[in-house]
Amino acid sequence: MTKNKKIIYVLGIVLATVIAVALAVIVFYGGITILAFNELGG
Amino acid sequence: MSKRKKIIIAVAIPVSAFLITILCLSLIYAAPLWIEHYHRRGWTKLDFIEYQWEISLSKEDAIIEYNFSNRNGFHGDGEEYTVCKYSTRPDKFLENFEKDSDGKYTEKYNRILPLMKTKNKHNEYIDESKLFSPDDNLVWQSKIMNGNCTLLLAYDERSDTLYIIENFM
Repeated sequence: MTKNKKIIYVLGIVLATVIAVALAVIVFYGGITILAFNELGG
Repeated sequence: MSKRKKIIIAVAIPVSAFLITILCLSLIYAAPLWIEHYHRRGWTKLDFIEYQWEISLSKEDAIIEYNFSNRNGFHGDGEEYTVCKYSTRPDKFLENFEKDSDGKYTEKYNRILPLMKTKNKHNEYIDESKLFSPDDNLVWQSKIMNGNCTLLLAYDERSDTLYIIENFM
């Protein structure tokens, strides 16, 4: 693996990790909001 | 490093980050609820009313006969009705109560009464036989919090019964 390829690989993992964390936050608070509105309706 | 290993690492790290974030958020969200639940274990409805309304109730010789809640809203909007029977009259507690000479308490009660008769989230309705009719035997006290939440206390001196009406808006 060349140095450039290594950098791209590591940056790819970092970017994927950041996206995963953001997605987790959205899923968590989205889930809470959906549960709360279900309670409101039910 | 083989190509297979590289793919596994590239997938495992974001997936772990996703799961760890969900776990941490759950713990952060749940921890205060657990602490609150632990602090409030063994509380009766009267304890909750005291805490909610920042008042002091007479809890000695008090037996909760009936409780109904239709607080169905997202923010706990709705009404709660509690009937509490005393074996001895709590004279000290009743010092701040007054007769409804100008009808203001009856007016408040009549305003909240139709709201109490709506069904709750379990599709239950209040037992209307547990409701009371305002008369001269009652002494009253009320408290308003957060602008428009109303607590109404009515004590029947004839039957030594305290009626607690909570209206959350």
